[in-house]
Amino acid sequence: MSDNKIDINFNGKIIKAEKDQTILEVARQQGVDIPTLCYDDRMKPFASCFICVVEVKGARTLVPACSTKVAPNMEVQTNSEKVMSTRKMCLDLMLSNHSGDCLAPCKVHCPAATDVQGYVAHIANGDFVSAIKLIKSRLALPLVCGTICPNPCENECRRGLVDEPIAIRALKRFASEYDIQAGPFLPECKKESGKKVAIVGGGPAGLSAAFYLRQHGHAVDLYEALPQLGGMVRYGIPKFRLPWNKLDSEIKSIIDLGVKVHTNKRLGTDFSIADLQKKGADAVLIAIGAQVSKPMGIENEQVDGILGGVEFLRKVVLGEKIKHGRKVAVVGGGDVAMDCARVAKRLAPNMDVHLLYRRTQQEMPALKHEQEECHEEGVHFQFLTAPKAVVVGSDGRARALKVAQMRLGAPDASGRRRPEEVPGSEKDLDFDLIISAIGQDPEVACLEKDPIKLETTKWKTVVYDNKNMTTKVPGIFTAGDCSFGPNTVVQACAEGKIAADAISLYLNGADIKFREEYRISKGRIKELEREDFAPRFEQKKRQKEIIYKADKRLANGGYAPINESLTQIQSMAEASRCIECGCSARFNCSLRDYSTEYGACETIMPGKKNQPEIDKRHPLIRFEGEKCINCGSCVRVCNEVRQISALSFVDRGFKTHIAPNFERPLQATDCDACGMCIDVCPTGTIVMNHSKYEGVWEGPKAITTCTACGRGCALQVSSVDEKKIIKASSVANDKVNGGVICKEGRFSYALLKYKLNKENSNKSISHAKKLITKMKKPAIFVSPWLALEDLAAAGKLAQKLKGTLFYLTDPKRKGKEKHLFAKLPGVTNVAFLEKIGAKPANTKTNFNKADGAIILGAYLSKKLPRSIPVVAISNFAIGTKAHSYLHHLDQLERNGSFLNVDGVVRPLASDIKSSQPTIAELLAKLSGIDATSGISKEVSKLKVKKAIVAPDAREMAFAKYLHKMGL
Amino acid sequence: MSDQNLEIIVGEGTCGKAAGSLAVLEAFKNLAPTAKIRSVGCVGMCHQEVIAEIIDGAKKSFMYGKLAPKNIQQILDFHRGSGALPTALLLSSTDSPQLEGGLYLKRQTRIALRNVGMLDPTSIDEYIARGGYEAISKIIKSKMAAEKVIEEVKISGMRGRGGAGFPTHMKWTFARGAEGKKKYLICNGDEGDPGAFMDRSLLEGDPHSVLEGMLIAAYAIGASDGYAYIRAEYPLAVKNFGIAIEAAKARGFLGSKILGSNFSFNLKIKQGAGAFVCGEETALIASIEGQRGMPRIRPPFPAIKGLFESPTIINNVETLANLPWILAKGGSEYAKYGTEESRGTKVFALAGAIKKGGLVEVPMGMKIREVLEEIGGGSHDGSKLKAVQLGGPSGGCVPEALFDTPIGYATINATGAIMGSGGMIVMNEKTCMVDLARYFLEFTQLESCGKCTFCRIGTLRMKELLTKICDGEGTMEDLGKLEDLAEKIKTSSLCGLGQTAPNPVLTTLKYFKEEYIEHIKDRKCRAGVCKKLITHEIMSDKCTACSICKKACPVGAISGTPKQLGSFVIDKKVCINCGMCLEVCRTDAIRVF
Amino acid sequence: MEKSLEANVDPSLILQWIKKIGTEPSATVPLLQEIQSTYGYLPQKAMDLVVENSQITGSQLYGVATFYSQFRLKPVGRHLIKICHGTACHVRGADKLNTAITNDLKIPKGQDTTNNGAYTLNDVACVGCCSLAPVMVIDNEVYGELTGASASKTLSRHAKNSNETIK
Repeated sequence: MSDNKIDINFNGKIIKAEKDQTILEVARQQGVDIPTLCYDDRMKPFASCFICVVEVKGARTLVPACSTKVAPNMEVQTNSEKVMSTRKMCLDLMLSNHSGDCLAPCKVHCPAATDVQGYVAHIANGDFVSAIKLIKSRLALPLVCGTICPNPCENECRRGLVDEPIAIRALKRFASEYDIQAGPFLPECKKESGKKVAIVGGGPAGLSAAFYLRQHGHAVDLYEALPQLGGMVRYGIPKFRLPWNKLDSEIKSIIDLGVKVHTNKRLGTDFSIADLQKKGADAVLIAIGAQVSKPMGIENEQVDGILGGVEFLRKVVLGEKIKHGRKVAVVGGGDVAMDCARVAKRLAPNMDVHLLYRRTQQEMPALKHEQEECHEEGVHFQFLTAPKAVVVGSDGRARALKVAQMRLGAPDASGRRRPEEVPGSEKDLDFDLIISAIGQDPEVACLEKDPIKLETTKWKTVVYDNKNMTTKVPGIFTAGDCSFGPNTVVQACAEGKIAADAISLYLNGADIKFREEYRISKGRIKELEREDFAPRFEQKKRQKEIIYKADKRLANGGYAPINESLTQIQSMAEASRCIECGCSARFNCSLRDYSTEYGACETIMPGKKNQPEIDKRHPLIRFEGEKCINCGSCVRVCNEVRQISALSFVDRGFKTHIAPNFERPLQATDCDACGMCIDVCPTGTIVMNHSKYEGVWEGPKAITTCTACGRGCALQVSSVDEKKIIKASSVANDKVNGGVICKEGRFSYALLKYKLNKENSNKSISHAKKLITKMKKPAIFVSPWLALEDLAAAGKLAQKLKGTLFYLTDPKRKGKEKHLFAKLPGVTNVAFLEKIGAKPANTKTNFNKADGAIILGAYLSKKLPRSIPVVAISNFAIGTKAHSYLHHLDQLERNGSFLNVDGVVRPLASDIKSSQPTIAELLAKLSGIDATSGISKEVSKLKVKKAIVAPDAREMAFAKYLHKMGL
Repeated sequence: MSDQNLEIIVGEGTCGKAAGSLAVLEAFKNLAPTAKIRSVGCVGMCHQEVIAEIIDGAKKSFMYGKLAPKNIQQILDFHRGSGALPTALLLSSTDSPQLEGGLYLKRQTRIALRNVGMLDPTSIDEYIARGGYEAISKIIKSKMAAEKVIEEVKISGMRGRGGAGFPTHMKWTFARGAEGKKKYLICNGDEGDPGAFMDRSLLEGDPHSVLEGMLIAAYAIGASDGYAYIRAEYPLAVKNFGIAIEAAKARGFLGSKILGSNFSFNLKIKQGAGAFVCGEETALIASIEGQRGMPRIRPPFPAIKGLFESPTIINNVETLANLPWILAKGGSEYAKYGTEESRGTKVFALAGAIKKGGLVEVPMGMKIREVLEEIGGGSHDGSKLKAVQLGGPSGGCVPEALFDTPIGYATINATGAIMGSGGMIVMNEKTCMVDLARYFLEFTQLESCGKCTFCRIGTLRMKELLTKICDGEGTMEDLGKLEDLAEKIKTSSLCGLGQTAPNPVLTTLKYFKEEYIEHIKDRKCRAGVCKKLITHEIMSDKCTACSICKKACPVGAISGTPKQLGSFVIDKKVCINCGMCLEVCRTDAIRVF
Repeated sequence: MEKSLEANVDPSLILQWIKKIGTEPSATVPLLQEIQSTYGYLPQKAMDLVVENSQITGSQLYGVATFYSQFRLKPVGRHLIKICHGTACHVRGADKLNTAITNDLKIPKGQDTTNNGAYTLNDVACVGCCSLAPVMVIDNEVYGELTGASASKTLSRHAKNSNETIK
């Protein structure tokens, strides 16, 4: 029997465990998930977060699994009620001191939850195709919404606290118009599932459902009662607001995914739900909208000369004849009323249109700009006027409207003041046509005769579960105005998508459940202070779409588009105003994941919060202290793993926080921007500081090999369409480097943007060459941070010139750790340097015998003998005066390439030319040494353990590297 | 009569100094330059400071209290035979042991405190004269086996006096058996408990006892190096202990090859820089190593892996001070005191609403009531005692109804409190138990090292809930939340600080829940402490219009014309209920309700 | 005030202490104590000198300097008043001393030192003089059994004796 095996009781089961294992390690082996926020394989257990607690029989307290070792016969419970409730409270407490917006409020308040921050960033970067792809992943009708959405997103936009909200709707419109011009993006559809879905209603909800059902691989039959698709956006929105050529292209981009369209087919008249099922529909979606105007409930309402708002608009679109005379009344104050009034205005030149509303303009629900445009076009607004009865003329048609004067009384349930009639104020107003636009109802009568009985509500909507769009009948779903009640287009689109996803789950036989992810918010905009955001941002005006003057709008029948989209330049400028308030770690935040899992919430243990300023002082690394949960992983990876001193724990008690040493900017500490703190941070407190460039998208991820130098570290890169790297991070189990990467690997892709283009002139190269040729036994100083090939070249140069190679040391560290960054286990660059005969240089080193100095990327603190010539190749100050200084780009500034998952090498940001030689290449030029040959032999000796991560990609990269070395 | 026969001993502990002992000493020196004048540590009767003892030519002792320089002449006159005995100042004397001071000491059994107040702490000779360094000399000279030393301590039944009460010999046995090139012994003198000051008194008044105790412990576990970790807030303790180290080195009791043997022990003082959490062993070790005092998970225990990764024993000052006595007289002699499960004596620091505050050492098993009422003299203002807080912020409140509990580790734990280091903060009717719980949570919150979630955030949330209740804004739901938080912080914090932080709340909730409910439901604070729930008012029938309250009011809430009776009133809108007026009023004319 | 104090930092003195106390991490607390006992607080320049000339890292030094209540990162007034908030002092009304002394000193909000640099007021956990509660300490001198009024008197007496003006 092995000595190291012990029996323990794990969740009621006797299992074998290794003696030195922690409970967490045992649990992972057993496939039991124990949450943790402060544990990372690369570091010693710390036990600060305490979310990993488990119950151990006999222990006085719960114990942290990450740092408690198993003992013989230990009884461990990892999921008891006590454990679970403690973990939940742990999260509740953390969240109570955690600030930020997991999701930007624009996304939260968009019914379709479009990733606004994401597509706005794409637009800012000039990547409009990615923008539309991102939009279409949530919203099937971006052009429609981009043109006419009431944009609840903008009302909550945090930029509004700085100056004005981002013009989100206009940006969406720009991107979708760009998409249509560029030939619309058609998403990939999964292979045919063999299932068939019938959609009743070709409006926004139905179209949206069709769009996503096709992507799920289901066959779609779309039934529409009217001759053309579009529903309310075609028959309810006048085309001067939403031009049909654009609407048609957008609908086409949906139908082109392979939707079978059946127009002029009306449910209840031409077919029943049961018929659809008989024809083989595995699921049916009812999305018939709300097509009937609400009656005003007054006397003589049924007579000729009275029309409902939506009926009026539809008749106009269908070209049906309307007897309108010269004077038209529109009753109502909503968007439909505005549209009716504006269309009525266009029925003939010089129409006299009156809009009657029973409250004042302040209470009018229509969008403000709609009201303004309506007013500008000459519609007369009559407020505090309510219809009482229709006065019928001798021809049996409506002749006039009896109205009453109103005044505002006490507020009603909606918070608006209730209008009350002024006694004795009744009067008759003469009209040729009266349009009642006070709301719509779904037309559920078509469902009554159906063999499939769908339950309806007193509001004439279909009874449904608004979380998953299911009706009471299995297999029958509903979405849009006929279920929710009359609402916005974007609401209908949102429901259409949910219905599609739900139907797909249903067809796959899965539970139709959607989990809501936890999110924390700084609050509604009215609860926030301007000072919360304003001081950090420069004020910049919002870009505006051009809206034509009223006379131009009404010219030539008045059906030409009334406004113009933002230009490309305007859009990019507008998008760059986004302050990116949504957390950039939202796709990989452990705190958020666990909070979702445990149902934790920030409001359960409310109290004081620490809200330090966001520290953006470092160009690459941003510190958002308000999100910190004090797990200490960043401090530990920095001190313990990197043995660097950049971050400290500060203060104690509740005030304890983490900050750069002495609260200085990170660059004023020992920080070398390896960014490992970013990788270990579980909450998005420490993130990359290049915001819009990095974006906040979830892109394809690939493990590749870092090309910054020859060591061959594994890198995980996220990209947008594999054409632009947006993030590089370490690979935790990389054997090459122990899961620790450096600045070059992490940030070179980003810094390429800022690539310098300093050329070394031939003149300065020849001057350096002259100096080097004269040297008989120079001292050559290298920084051990240089790439292996550069070091090897320096070694060869030393050999050739019979000089001495010195490498700089760090007096702070001792022994093997003197030079960290062992990218090969146990082997450092210093090991390599010593192998090629280099000596450490420190303050005691005597190099007085040297007759020249060559400084390569190193900083000398010790003075050189004054008389000797100095040649330097560096990109920063070298601590002494050089007689010849050649600039070179360090690794992070050099061009690179990356391997995608298919093993194909792609150049990084190929539009940037790199003419800069490496140090090795420069040395070859200066001294005639053969810089690269034979190095691979030395390097291969250093390759002690084979890398196991993503073998294909990595081996290929290494092979390529060796090839370059001349092998 | 000549002064040369007089021996004058002045108490010079921190409390004595605070009460003005330096001036008294100066007066004695000026007025009786030929007398033998010594200064000693604190005898423990802090409430009587400045205290001086005079031993006359007939070896009769007279102890005087509450001295001021102006009293000295009168005392000297008496001892010179030219005046009457100043009875008002006399605490006790050989002739009248029944006086208050005599009784105070008589009820005690002083083992740890045996020398405190008796000898000059800066004189190693006086320590030796009282039997000091006998125990360690005996051990070394007789080449006593370390196991035998441990055995003796085991027989004594000594348990760690720092708080947890872990049997001392067991800890030693672990360290003795632990592997390590070097072993460390640390004296924990980081007395962070607000309300405890026995360690200060011992280090100030009898440093050699502690030092000798360290030698014994070091010998037993095989430690070669040691640290005395003393709070920087105790400058006199640091000074006197430093003097003791130098003197012991000079006499060969400390350093290499002690008393010619192979036993070497090097001792250094480390000054604690102010962190309650450093009472926790692993935090204390981190602190000596130069880190933030953040505890780490145990095991490994310090006895196996402690300071600089070596086996380390940390013993409390009081524990160590007992050791020379135990080794000199034998463990069984010590075990005669106390009860079955709690042997020996324990030092308590009496403070708060008590008449005779100070240090007392009593055998285990004595009832709490005896300590508080018979030795401590009950409430300082004659009102009824309500409770006593044992064990400081980690401990709990024992209500008056349980004052008959005999003192012992298990018996006190049964009440929900803990023995702790021995602080006894006494409360009377003027103490609000909710405010007290809030006070303790505020303390632990500020002292939390900030590492683990429950302690860092949870204690603040508890404090906030308590503040809400104190402000009259609490709900019954808050009370439930408070209890839930308390239970979870107790079971899910990394170290003792967090695990015990909820104790004051849990015990006050257990014994004084009605006070919480009163704050919530009636918005009333019966003790008149919670400022948002009380009102100050001038009773015109008692007011003499002296105007002193008006001068004392920091916010100008009091108006009135001097000498005009009935003119003084407090503007409730301005009043912050700070109580300054109440404090200065000479005629009890201010009412709080 | 802070700048001129920083200028007072004598590098040779700091180096001398490092030599005496040690360069190991365990010297952190004693070194800081030495610096504070000389300057009354921890000047940044002195801390930088320690980091440059020892094995103590900036992370460790800053972490320790902000952890222990003894250390101050801001200059202290000519006299330091500590009001004890131990349990005994709390129960016996230590907050009255705060009310009285704060009222006397008129320290600007958010600060702890009077405008004239004479007095710094700190609350401390416990000075171990519990039986004399409530207690106030001015420059290491302990005053016990105080009331708000007597604390005020004590302060004005102190100011008079040390030629300071209150406020």
